[in-house]
Amino acid sequence: MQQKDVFYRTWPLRFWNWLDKRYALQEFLHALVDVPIPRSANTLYLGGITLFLFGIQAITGILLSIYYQPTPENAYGSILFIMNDVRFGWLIRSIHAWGANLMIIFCILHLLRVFVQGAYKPPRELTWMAGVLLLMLTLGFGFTGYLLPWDQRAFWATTVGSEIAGAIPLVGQAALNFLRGGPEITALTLSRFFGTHVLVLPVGLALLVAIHLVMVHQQGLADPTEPTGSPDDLLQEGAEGSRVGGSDDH
Amino acid sequence: MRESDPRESEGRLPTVDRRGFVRSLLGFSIISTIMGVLTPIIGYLWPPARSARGGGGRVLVGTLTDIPPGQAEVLPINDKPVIVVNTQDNQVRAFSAICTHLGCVCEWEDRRQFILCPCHDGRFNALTGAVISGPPPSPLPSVEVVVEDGDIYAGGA
Amino acid sequence: MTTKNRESENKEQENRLLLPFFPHYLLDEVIAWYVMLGVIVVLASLFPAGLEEQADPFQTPAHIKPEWYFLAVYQELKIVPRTIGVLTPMLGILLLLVLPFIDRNPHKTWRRRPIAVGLGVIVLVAAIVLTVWGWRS
Repeated sequence: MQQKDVFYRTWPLRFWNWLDKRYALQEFLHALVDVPIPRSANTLYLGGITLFLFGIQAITGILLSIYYQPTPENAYGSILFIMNDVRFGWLIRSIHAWGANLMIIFCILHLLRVFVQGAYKPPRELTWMAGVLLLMLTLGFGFTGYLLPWDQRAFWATTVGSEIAGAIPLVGQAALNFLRGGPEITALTLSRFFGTHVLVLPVGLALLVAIHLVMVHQQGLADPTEPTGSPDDLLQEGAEGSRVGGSDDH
Repeated sequence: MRESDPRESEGRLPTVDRRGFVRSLLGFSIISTIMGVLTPIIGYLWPPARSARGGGGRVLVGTLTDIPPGQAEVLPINDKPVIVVNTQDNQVRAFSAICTHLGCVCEWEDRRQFILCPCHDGRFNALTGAVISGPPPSPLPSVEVVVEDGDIYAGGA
Repeated sequence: MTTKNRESENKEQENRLLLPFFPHYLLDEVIAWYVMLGVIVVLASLFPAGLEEQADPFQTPAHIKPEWYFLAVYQELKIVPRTIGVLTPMLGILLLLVLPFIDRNPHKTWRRRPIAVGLGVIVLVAAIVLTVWGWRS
């Protein structure tokens, strides 16, 4: 029994060492993970949950794309097929639909938390801006994804929604045509919404999330307790924050 | 499965301490969660049965004038190639046109009146579907076919 | 850490103020994710996603509404002139984007940021009212 234990413990360890020697993984992992968190920081896990929901959306979305067919003739039928014939298809699609709504809710709650705690203030201006853009991309996901089932609700909600773009002064009609791929909602609209939903937005969101997280990692979490003194002190505190976050040699 | 405390293991029951117990529980929860997530995903990826999609009804393939005696035609019936043969003595037969050897689609050899697989020269009897010569291991499965008022229907039960 | 030149007392104090990301913070985070996974599976099972009739471009059904997150803008468009109705949310997003550069107040706690928090509450309440209004109309 003891030998067995030793065996199980050593081999993964040896493999790890083998990899570590070649790629300095230990250092990398330390740099990634050894970030001290201010005890007074209180994130309420909202950002983390949003990230988790994005992961769920990615997985269920990839699964749905396996059976979904983005043409007006087949889209509705393929959704029916997913709901009725594919094992757990109803579950995967329902999780994707709920995940979409929850992701937007948690995005907004995360934004409110950062607002209330004043965590957007210097030196975290760019993290905030990336976050606002992430919310916009998430809303874009919602808008483009809503059309894909190609049922009455999807079609007409998109009609009304994209009509709004037409009201923009000067460029309204052009914006509308760009959005719909023509003046009406057709097969072209469906395929460009599909492409945006499954390729453009995921890549954009993933990149922006990475940037957002790297910025958080470099600066550490914001401490919501009152800073004392002038804005100069505040920048001082910011500089210290980045030092704390970036150091990793214990 | 943990190494036991040497003080207690002398001729007594193996001990399960609290830490080991909690660790087993934790491992169990992690594994069951992973299984719970993987089961729907694997089930989803497994292709569903296509039975719901019109598994096969009777299909009108043409009239006797379309396929005169001594002729045959390969037609798609319920998404599968079927060869409908009208033999020289006016007997209408239908067979799956998928060669039992390697899945090529067979054709009609007009001159010598048999069904020919062009890939490896497999030959089938036009009346029974039996193998005449060549590599095919088994005869072509026959497909239901009926003639009503000169109309040929194939497929279905 | 660059603590060589620091006094150990200082270091101790810092240790009390900071918590390691791993495993302390990450564990809490993973628990939150786990709960979320449960919640989403239960919601999806109890209220599966629906599907209406296939889209028919020649027949508009009654009561078309956008998704809930667009309802505020949708309702706002109904009650103000079109051009203003479109430009207001766009301006709002722009202001939200550059908020850290507009809000120069160094304080973080909400008690000492009456203007920012006041405006925030007004915008939030307006958005909620418009959403509920759009949902019920």
